Amino acid sequence: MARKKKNDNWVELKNQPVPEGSHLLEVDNLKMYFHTQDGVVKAVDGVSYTLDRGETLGVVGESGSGKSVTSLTIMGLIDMPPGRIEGGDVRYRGKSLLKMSEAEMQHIRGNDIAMIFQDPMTSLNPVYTIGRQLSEGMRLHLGYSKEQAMKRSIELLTMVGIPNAEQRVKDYPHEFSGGMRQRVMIAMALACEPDILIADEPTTALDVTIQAQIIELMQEMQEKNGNAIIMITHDLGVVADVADKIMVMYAGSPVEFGSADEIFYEPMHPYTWGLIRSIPKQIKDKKSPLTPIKGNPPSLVHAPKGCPFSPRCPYAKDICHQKKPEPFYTSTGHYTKCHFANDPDFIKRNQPPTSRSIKREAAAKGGEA
Amino acid sequence: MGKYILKRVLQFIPVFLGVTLILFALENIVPGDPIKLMAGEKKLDPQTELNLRATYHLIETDSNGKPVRDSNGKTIPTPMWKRYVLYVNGLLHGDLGTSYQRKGQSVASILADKYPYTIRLSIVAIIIEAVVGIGAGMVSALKRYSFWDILVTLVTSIMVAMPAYWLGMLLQLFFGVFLKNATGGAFYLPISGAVGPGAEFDDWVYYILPAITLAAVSTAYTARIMRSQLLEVMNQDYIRTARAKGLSRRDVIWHHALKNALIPVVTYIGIDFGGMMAGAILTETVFNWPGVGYETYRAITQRDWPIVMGSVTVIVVVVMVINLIVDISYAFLDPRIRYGAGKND
Repeated sequence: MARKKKNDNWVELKNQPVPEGSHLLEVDNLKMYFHTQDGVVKAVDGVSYTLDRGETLGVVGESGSGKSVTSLTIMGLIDMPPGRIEGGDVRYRGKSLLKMSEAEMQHIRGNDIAMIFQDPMTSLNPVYTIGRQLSEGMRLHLGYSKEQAMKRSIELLTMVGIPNAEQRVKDYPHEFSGGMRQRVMIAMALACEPDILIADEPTTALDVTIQAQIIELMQEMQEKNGNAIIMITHDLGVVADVADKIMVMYAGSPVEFGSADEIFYEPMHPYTWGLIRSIPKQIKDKKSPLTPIKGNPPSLVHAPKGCPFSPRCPYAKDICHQKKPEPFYTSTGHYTKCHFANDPDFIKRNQPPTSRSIKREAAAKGGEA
Repeated sequence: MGKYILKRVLQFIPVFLGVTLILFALENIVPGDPIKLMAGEKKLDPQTELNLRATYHLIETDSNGKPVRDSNGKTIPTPMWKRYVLYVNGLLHGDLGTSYQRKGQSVASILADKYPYTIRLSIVAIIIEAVVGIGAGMVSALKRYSFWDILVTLVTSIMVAMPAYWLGMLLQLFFGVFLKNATGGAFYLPISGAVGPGAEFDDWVYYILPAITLAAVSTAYTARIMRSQLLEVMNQDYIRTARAKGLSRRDVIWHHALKNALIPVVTYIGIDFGGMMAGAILTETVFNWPGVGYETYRAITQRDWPIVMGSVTVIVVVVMVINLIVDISYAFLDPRIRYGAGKND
């Protein structure tokens, strides 16, 4: 069983107020590169965002866009080497996580920032009971005795909707279904009431019917505990309902960032448009083919010189292949990295139709008539 | 579980009958008359020879133990099936037979004499194998590509390729001869035999070289299995989960990685222990070790069939029992494995 913390001088950051002028979590131009035999992989190349308690940030992007690496960097779970922080900072309650020692990070992990992973089938240790695995964090961070931790484990399991928890806590992971295991993972992550819950594609490996349950469970828990959530997904549909802010990532850096409304109703980046267009539409009578984004994400070793999306962008001009775009900000803080973001006509012309734009157009037409 | 064990024990019966039957058949194929071999160069008195053949059931006898003769006055060799029935009947009554060459001694008493040496040697060897093998494998995996990892990989490659008897001879040459000469007889290790009256060394010293020889190849395999298993387990998602909980690297390795990585290693060591308990013929012969391996070797060269039969019979049972124990131990190591009527049936 895990040993209790030795360092009693440790100040629980969780109980400290967030310093004036900072946020709960601030990711500031974070750069994480991997030094491999093939060259330098710029997995995370300048990611910035802030997060406060009770907020949900959706991080959206294709496989290999650096979504997971960003969160694993925050957790300090990237092996270095081959990984290396090339710049930027991650501050939790005003304290830099990147400057913390491994021992200090062990206090943060599971206690202040917890994480759940994509595949619940492989994320639990097959040789230990659910109860033991749930207890571990509480015994380590909260100093619970075996009995206290087991009692709390049963409460947690009941809370995440596992029936007959008193018996189930003695079972092994293989005796649970996938959805049940993800519930266990959520219970495990929330055991120490962390400030931030990072969910790395929590529903990808689950049945569609279970997906909604798991998302709802996370929202419910958030209402109860007031924690922040970082929801990583490649499925815009998953974040649509839950996220307050959305960051769209491409090739290691954000290409668009805004509130969920802005991303869904006023998207400005051609990549975001592509993601929205590729959501299957549920229209009963009219069958239309899906609109995929053509091509594959670029190699992160030999990134394109200009805009990283330019090779796949249907609107790309010469400048896109030559020069990296600077972020363009709107008054609300919504930003995008596209050379044509300052051209409202271009955006209006090419934006995918959303329920809001359709309504607006109808209203405009009605006004003219 | 009880049902599973019973099923496995019942499976012993056909295996046991099969093995003894094959041995009986071999005994009849292999040339050489054991009674003539007993006499060696000397000419055997016909009456003594007849009595011996009668005692060992090589010829048919009447109820008084007197040889039965056919119409030509010749003795009748006992058919193989009859001798087999007699043998199995003896076994069921705890009688393993009587040695041809070690006159008058029962096979059971000879084995009882030899087996403790084999058991003790096996235990020492298995401890070396477990401690050194698992330790080296762990260091190798946790310090991957370091000097120690390369050293372990290199040494285990050589050990796996090296025949045990050759390693034994090299050790004898170095520790028994070279070192003795180099230090002027001040320091060396015994290279032959085990403890006896008036022994030159303490008991345990005699175990060093044979145990190392016996354990060498298996230790190398254990280290390699341990290394690859631990490397694989360390890449598993549940290890990342454990780290994300805030466990220290040490806790992650000792509590989460090791138990999973050990499952195949324990299996290998268990089966290997069964093999060692069968007596290491090569190692015991090289070191004149008075165990069942050496005794079996001696019995084969001298056509001492009762001993060969007896020791192999005992070995078969021991190996089967150890394999059963290994299989049962899985259930304790890996909760996914349940035998017999479990809740997953």
